[in-house]
Amino acid sequence: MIQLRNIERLYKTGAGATFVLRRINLEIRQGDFVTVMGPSGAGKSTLLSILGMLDDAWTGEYHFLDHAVHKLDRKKRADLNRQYIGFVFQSYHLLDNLTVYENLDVPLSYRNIGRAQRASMVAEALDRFQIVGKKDLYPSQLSGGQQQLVGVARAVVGNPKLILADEPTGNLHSSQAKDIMELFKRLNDQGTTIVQVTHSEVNAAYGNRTIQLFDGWITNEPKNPEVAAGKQPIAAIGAQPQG
Amino acid sequence: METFLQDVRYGVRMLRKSPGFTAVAVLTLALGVGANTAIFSIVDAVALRLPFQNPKQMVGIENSYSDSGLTPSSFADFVDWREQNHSFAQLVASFRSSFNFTGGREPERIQGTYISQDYFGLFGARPLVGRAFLPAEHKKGAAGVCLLSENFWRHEFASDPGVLGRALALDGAAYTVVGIMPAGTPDFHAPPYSELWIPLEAKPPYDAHGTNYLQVIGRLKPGTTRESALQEIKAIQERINVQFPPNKHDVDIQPLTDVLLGDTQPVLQVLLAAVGLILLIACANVANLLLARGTGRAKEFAVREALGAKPWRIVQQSLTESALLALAALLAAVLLTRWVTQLFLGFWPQNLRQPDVVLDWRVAGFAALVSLIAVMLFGLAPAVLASRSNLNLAMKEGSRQTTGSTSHGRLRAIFVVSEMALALVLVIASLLTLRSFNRLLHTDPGFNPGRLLTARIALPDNRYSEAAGQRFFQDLLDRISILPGVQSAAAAAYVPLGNGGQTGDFEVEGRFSQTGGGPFAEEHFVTLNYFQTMQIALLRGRAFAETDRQRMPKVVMINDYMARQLWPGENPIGKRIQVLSAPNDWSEVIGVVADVKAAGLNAPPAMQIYLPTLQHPISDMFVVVRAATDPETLVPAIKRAVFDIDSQQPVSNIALMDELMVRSRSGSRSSTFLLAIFAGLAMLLAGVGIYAVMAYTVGQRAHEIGIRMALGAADWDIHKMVLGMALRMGAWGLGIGLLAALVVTRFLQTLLFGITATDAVTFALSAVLLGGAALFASYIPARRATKVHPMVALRYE
Repeated sequence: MIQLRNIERLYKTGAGATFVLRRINLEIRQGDFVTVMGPSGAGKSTLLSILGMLDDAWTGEYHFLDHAVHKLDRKKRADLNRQYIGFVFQSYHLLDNLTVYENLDVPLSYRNIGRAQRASMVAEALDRFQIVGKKDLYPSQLSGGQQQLVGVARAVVGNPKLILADEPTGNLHSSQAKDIMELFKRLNDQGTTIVQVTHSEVNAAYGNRTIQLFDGWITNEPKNPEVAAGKQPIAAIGAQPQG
Repeated sequence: METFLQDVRYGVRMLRKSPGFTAVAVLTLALGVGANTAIFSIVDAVALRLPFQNPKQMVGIENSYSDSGLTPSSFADFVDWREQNHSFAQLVASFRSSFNFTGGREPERIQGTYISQDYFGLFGARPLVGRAFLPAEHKKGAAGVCLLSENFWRHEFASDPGVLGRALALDGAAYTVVGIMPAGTPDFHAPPYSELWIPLEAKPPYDAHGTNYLQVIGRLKPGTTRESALQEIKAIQERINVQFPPNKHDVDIQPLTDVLLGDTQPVLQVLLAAVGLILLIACANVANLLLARGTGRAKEFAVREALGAKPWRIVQQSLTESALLALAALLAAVLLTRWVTQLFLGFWPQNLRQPDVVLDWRVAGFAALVSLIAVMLFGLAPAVLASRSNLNLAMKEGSRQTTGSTSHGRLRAIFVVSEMALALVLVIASLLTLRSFNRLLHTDPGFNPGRLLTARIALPDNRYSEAAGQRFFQDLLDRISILPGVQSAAAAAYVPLGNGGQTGDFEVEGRFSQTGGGPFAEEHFVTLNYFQTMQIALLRGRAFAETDRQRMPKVVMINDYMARQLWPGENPIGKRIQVLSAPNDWSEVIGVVADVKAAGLNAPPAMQIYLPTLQHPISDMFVVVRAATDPETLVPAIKRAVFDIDSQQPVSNIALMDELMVRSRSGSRSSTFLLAIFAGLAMLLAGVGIYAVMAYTVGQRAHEIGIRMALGAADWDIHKMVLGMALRMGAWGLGIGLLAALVVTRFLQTLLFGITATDAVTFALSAVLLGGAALFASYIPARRATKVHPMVALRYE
């Protein structure tokens, strides 16, 4: 489903540039439940935003399904995002001034779907996540767990092939976190590919594969040539990554 | 005091911390205050700072006719009013004329004013050198005396005091110089300025009832009201009417400022209203900026409150910052005023006396007052809102960027809606005058003004008899006609658009005539070839011919409008009328010509009668010369032709007809261009207002925009969202503005030509124009919104 070849992402700084991702080679198959782990600043969220096609300023090759993403312009990438990808955020990021119903409707409204069809898709999601009774409430009237439930519902309402979750349980207590992770597991069992970023080993255990990032390098994937050859990433031994 | 100084110090620091905000706010306010101060300085110069004491006691008296409105007064009426009234401490009259002055380097026509006894006494003006007129010099038949202007004295006599007692030759008669009047002597007539004054009563140019030419000004006695004075003058006039029924008329008394302002008054009123609107827009703009800034500082105010500050202290601190902004704007406005005033005066109508604008303490005081009002307008609402900030909410909002509190948001929207509405009123007013001016530009004057030269030759009566005058003009036109480059030449008592003219009553044969209220028409005394030279189309009948001489049957030509008014559906040729100012005989209508815009391009259609000078000799005429090439090259040859006949005869008022056309439009041009500048300024300020609000909103909603983009919103969706907000505000503003304009623009009607004050096309066009400007202003923030990086926006939650 996803192939990344030599993906690099750098940020220009005053004097030069700082790499946040270096020579990322990664393959994700349909139905995978991939966990990305690593310390703060390792590049996890950046990797997620590249996968979600929210970031344009990278180099390398990115193949998504049959599309060579690296050859597409911003508009076509946004089209792919709309068609295939759903996002779940650590802080839920529901829109404060919209009701639960309206929050679920937002991503559909960006997909050229007629009002009637949108209504039926939202109704189905509300029903599936058992939040019909809360459809007219505003986010501020929901608990954290309920908000994240709505966040997940919003991510899947358009039936995406890929769910990208950035620390989805970071703000939840353990029982709420468990509910959300089991929900992800069920979605994955139904065929949805999931890539989550997390610090939690417990959450990672729900996935079938874990990728470790450190200072922009993948450190545990055998396909990474430097790591495979037994070399340490430069940053890992204290040197600054070179631009 | 200590608290105040602390607030000032803190305010200065806050303003220095945000130089961009401070610069925009100061500039916006400076434009508002500067525009108001500039217009005030002109109103001050034209109407308020009059060069004499107690101007409120001064009034102008005018004749009022039921069919022709207000006119100047006749000498006979003036004398009766002066002798019989008990309401006025002084009543004076003046008449601007011009004289052939010989005795200088070459004969020239100079401006002079006939003044009645005590004229300068009324205004407290005294001679610089010599003395004023003695009462005996105002007696009928007294020897000619004159006062010179300081300007004329310096230029013509090199400030020689020995000129006193010397006799000047004016129109061939001797006038002894008795004094020199200083520069700045009151002169209320249209430019150019008077170079000399002579006593009116000694030899009035016209003394019949019905010949209305005098500007009459009076000073009311202490305790007398304008109304009671009017009643008394009306009573006197009724007695005169009984004695002279053909000239039956009413009188009107107006404040002197109204008389002096004349047609300028509605223009100044509209301009004052326009700059007032600009000030309101500027205030709304700055209030918006302060509100946006206040939202960012909500936490600061909340902490201050938590530390014990009372709401009034917070209001005081906010107002101090606003006052500092206004003070900076005031300084900038004073600098701007000088420049803006110059700009205004650059557009000043050529046919109006240019005001002597002085930027003194009165103007500075006005600017300070406007600034103070501005502080209250733009500073109070944000200050009060700041004082009401809620600590809990502020801390919560401070921890997470939201779209700001609802009350701030609503108030910001109200300000933007108000700005749009006010700006639309100005844009509509401006577009109406622009379209009106455009119509004026394309108005057919009824003749061809291209390559047409005019020059005035006024033969003095004491040197030229009627027959001699006729011979002079015949000879002159013969000489000019054969000059190389001349296609055709003629003469007329007045030229169209030349700021002069004569109207008079007439009777139609076989129709009931009523005294003092019959039909009246413009009277044009013209030579042969006049219509051919002016290229005025002959529609019916024939033009004047050599045979239409004095002892032959009297003939006239009329214009098309008169033919249609008097004989609709009939052939006017052969009909007879009697012109009362030349009541010799009935005159037969022999031809009908096209309507000519003689009194001004925007003048309503008028009945016009053309009389041949062969039957009605005139000694003071304008020659009109149609040239084959550049008419200006003919000027020396024409002057030479005049001097060859009479070396003492000056040639004056030399002008190209194209110039007279431009001058005729210059009043409309001034108001049109000034309103266009103000409307442009209003659009700019409204655009800046919308931009500021949308840019601020986009900044505040970056988080939301990030989420939406992560959820699949395309650039267009974000554009749509931001532009939609702007459009909603814009639509409210435009709606309210259109309604307001419907009410307000009717005051413009007197300034408009060929277009109604509620012209639907103009209203629609203005709304589209301003709506487009608003969309453009919000496009930049909308575009910036699409550049929000979703992950960055989400990370900085």
